[in-house]
Amino acid sequence: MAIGYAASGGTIRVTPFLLLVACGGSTAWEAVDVDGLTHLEAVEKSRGKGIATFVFDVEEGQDAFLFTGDPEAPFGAYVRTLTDPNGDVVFAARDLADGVESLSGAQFANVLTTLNWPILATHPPLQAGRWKLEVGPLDEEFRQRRKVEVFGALSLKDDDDLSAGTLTVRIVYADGTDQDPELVRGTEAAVAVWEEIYAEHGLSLNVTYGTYTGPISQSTSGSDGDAYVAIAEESGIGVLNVVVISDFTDWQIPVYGVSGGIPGPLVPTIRSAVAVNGFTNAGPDLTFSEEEIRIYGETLAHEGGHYLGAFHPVEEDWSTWDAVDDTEQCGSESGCIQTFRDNLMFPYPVCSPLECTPQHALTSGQRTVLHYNAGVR
Amino acid sequence: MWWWLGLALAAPPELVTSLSARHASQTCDEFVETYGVEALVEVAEGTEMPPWLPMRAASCVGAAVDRGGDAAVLRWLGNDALPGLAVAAVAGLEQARTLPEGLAPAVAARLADPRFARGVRLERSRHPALVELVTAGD
Ligand SMILES: [Zn+2]
Repeated sequence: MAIGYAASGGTIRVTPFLLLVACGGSTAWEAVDVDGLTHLEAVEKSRGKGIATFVFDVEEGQDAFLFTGDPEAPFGAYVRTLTDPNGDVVFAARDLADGVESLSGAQFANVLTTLNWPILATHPPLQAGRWKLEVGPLDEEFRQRRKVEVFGALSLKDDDDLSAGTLTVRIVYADGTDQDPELVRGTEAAVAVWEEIYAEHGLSLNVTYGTYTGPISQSTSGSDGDAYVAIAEESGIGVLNVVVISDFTDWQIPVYGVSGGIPGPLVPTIRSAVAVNGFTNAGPDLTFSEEEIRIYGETLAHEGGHYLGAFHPVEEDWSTWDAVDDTEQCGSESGCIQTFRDNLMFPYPVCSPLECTPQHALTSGQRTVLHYNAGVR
Repeated sequence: MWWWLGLALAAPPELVTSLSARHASQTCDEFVETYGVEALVEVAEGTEMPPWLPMRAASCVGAAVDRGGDAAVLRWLGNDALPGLAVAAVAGLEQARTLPEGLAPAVAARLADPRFARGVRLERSRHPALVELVTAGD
């Protein structure tokens, strides 16, 4: 699954209340006060072969981290390597370069890069000690470039129970959708469905609602990107923003629901949201039936799954898969439907004319991906 | 043959599957070139689930308004029962190179519906005739 590269980004805003942390490494991290997370921020410049290196210490009791690297415009980025305290490279984008298995969006070039670790149930528990993460800032020809500033944000969680947790979600009505009672009714009912689905997998949602009145679309370029930064800044760090829009007019490849990353950032960036189009989820009569509310709820849960790091178990070419161990590598459309028709992360709902098979299921391995995300705590 | 709403739907199943995907990977132009406008009109008017399937098809008919999609788009603009098809089709106009005569007035007639106006931000349109509909008098 290739993720498009677009030349924008570099829009993380640093929050106040900074406190210098004596990390002892080469990265000068600053601590930001965030409820329930150890949150650090730093800027590194790419050197040598065009690599920006972030060094950080994991303390005893910390179970997972999520890193976002946001290069200055107009560069993109990917995570080149992650090295554990033993000196073992535990993540290397080049090992995944054939694209047959998707482990993290960090393996692909994108406007910014986000890596959660660990990801899979088969990964060893997070080890205390000094870790090293290399970001490759890329130009439009996908060449690594030197002297590019990369803003790094690192959220570490201390989570006693990695099989249960809470995700903080802020639903933001934008584009005037708060003025549409049917969209509000449908969205609130769909959020209830999302809560039910996640509860089946040990995840609870802490949901709040807000509105955004500035111009916005599903695009994250230019001022529309600034809109997503502003929304995420208001939410604060560690929150999944779900932006409900209604406008279609910038459709090139249209979107009914889209995640800002796999996983998505926990700090304000142009990609710090899931965007859903309320109208497309209501269908041609623009009124939500019970079935459409259920499917809208599944869309929110599906996009939330991407935001927490889950890929489709299989892509629609039926020859590229996620890296999760217990999702079967099916090899044909009929075989994949047979295996995954009720799976939340299947790339499309499997429908007869008037209804679709409920898609609530996650394998144990997929569930672990979600629970390891630093945003779940 | 694909059965849909009790009617035989002649549109190819591959088209229905591609348009049902949560994240579309093909453009409207690719759908129009591969399957033709009539198949897209048939999906827009003859399917219900998932809800974005007919909406996506309607947007691609709008994208092909200058290649045979105009009759369906005008029909949807006049259909109060299925306002989403009009919204989706007008959104798709952004991918059409030219607008047929008579389309802008039909769009204008729809703008009194606030839900329609909310779905199509015409001030951003690439077509001056549509921008004028919402900026006249500014
Ligand atoms: Zn998806």
